[in-house]
Amino acid sequence: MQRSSHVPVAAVNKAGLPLAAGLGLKPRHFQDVLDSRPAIGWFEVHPENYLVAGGPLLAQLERIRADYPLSFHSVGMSLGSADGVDTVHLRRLRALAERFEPAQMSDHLSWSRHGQRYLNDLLPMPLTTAALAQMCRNVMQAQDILGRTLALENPSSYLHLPGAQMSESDFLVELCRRTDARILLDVNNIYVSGHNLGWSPLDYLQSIPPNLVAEVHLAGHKVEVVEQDTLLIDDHGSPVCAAVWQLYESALSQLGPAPVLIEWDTDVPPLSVLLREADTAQHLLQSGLSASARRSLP
Amino acid sequence: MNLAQWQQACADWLLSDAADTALLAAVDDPAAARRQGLGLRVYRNNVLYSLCEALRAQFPAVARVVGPAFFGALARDYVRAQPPCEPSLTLYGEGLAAFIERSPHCASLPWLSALARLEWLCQRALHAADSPALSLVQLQLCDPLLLGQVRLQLADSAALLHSAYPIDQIWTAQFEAEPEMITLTLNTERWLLILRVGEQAQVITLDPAVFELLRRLQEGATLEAAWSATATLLQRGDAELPTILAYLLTLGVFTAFDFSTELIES
Repeated sequence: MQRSSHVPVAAVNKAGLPLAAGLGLKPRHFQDVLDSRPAIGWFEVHPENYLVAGGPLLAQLERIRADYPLSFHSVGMSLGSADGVDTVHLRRLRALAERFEPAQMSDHLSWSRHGQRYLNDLLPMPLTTAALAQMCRNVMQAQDILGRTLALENPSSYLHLPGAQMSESDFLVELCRRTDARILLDVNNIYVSGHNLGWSPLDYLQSIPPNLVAEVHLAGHKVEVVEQDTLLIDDHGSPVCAAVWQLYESALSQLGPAPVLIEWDTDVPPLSVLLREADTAQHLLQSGLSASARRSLP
Repeated sequence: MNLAQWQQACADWLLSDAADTALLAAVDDPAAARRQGLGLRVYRNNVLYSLCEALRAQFPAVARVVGPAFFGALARDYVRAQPPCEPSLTLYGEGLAAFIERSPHCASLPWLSALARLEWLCQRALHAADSPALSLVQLQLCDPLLLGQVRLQLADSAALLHSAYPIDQIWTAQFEAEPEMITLTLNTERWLLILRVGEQAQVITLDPAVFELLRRLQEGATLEAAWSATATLLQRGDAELPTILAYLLTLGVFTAFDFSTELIES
C-alpha cells in the first residue's frame, strides 16, 4: 500500500488513551479482572500474543475490551530492520486492531528480525544517520499499513554500539518528528540505560519535547552484580523502585501528564499488587495534573 | 559494516556460542571492554531465555518429564537450529516433535517425540478457529436415505494422533504433584483425538474403529465409504455405527456437513 502523504494517517487515530494509569494485562489475571472489574483506566497487551484464529484468548480479550480501553503494545514489528518491515505481520496486526479498536498502538526503537529469523528481543539500533533513515522508512510504511500513527518506546540498553553519531534521545525525537509518530517514554528504561551506559536520566528527559509524549511506562528492574560491574536488567519482575518513581515525578513536572502504565511480566504477582502499583502511579499523575493546571492559570 | 551486515552478524552471534569480540568496538580501557562484553551477553541471554521460556510454556509435560536441565538444553538446541520466523510465538513449537525424533540425546526416550506432538496439537487446538458444533438434530434434518452420502467436516481444533506408547497417560501424569510410574509394556498403543471443548484442549482416547472412521472422514470420505472401509479393516458390524456417530456428535467434533459441493453450516 503506497500513499503519497502520511498526513491523513494521523487523522485516523481515535481519541487516544484516557489520561489515567493503566496496567499490562496478563492472561492469568483475565478472570480476576472480569470478576472484580477494577477501577483502572485502561489495559495494555502485546498484540503478538493474540494473533490466533480463535479460542479463549480472543474471547477473554473481547470481554475485557467491552469494559476497558486497550493499548496494543507490539514487540514484533521490528521497525529497525535493515531489510524493511514484515508486511504480512503488519496486516495481521491491522486486522486485530480493526476487531479490538485499541486506543493506541506502539512498538520500540529497536529491531528483532533479520531475514527469516525472529529473535524475540528488543535489540539495539546503531545511533547513526543511516540507521535513522532506514527506521524512518520502516515506521512510515508500518503506519501506512496500520492506518494510524504509532508511539515509539525508548528501549533498555546494555551496550554502546560503535559509530554513534547522536544520542538515543536525539535519534528518538528525530524519528518521531520525521514520521509523525509520538514517544512512549519508558522511565524505567531511561533509568536502566542511563546507569548501564553512563549518561544522565535527567538530561535525557530534558531533551524530550513535552508535546511528543503519548504514553509513559513504569516497571521494575533487576540489579545484577558481575564481579566489579553492576548491570541493571529491565526484567519487569518487581515493583517500581524508589529512584524510578522519583524520575517519574521529574518526568511529570518536566513533560506534563500522559497516560501511564505499570508493566510486570516475569514472576507476575496477584492482580491486587499490580493495582496498588497503578494506584501510586495514578496518584502521582493526579498531582501532576493539578500542578499543570496551576501552571496554566493566568 | 552497513546496517544489514551488522544485523546479520548480530543475529548469527545471538544464536551461537561464539565469542563476542567481532561485534564490539575496539576500546583501550579494559574495564569498558569488560562492561561492553557483559552488555552484549545480556541480549544473547534474553533471546535464548525468552524463546526457551515460550517453549516451556507450550510443552509443560515434556519439560516436567525430562526435568529442567534436559529441557533447557533441548530448547536451546531447537532455538538455535530453528529460530522463529514470525513474531507471534503461539505456534512456535510446531517443529519440536520432529526435532526430538532426530535428536541423538532423546534416542533413549522413544515416546518423547509423540508426547511433544500431543502437546503441540493441544496448543494448536486451543487457538484454532471457533466454529459451533454440529448437533444430532441438525444431522437429522438430512434425509435418512442420503445419510451415507454425507461428508462431515471436523472442527478446526480436531486432530488425530496414533502412538505406540500411552502418551495420554504420560501427559496426564505430568500435571500431578507426584507423577505415577508408568510401565511401558506391549499393548499400550493409543488412538487419540485432540479437540477444544469449551475453553480447553482435551485429549480423548478413542476406540480404534472410531479413530479410523474419523481419519477417513477428515480426509473427505463420505460417511458410507468411511464406515465401510473401517468396518472391513477392523471387522466391525454395521450396528455399531449409530452409537459411534451419536458419541462423536456429543463430543462436538463435527461442525458442518455437505453432500457434494454445497456445505451446510451448522
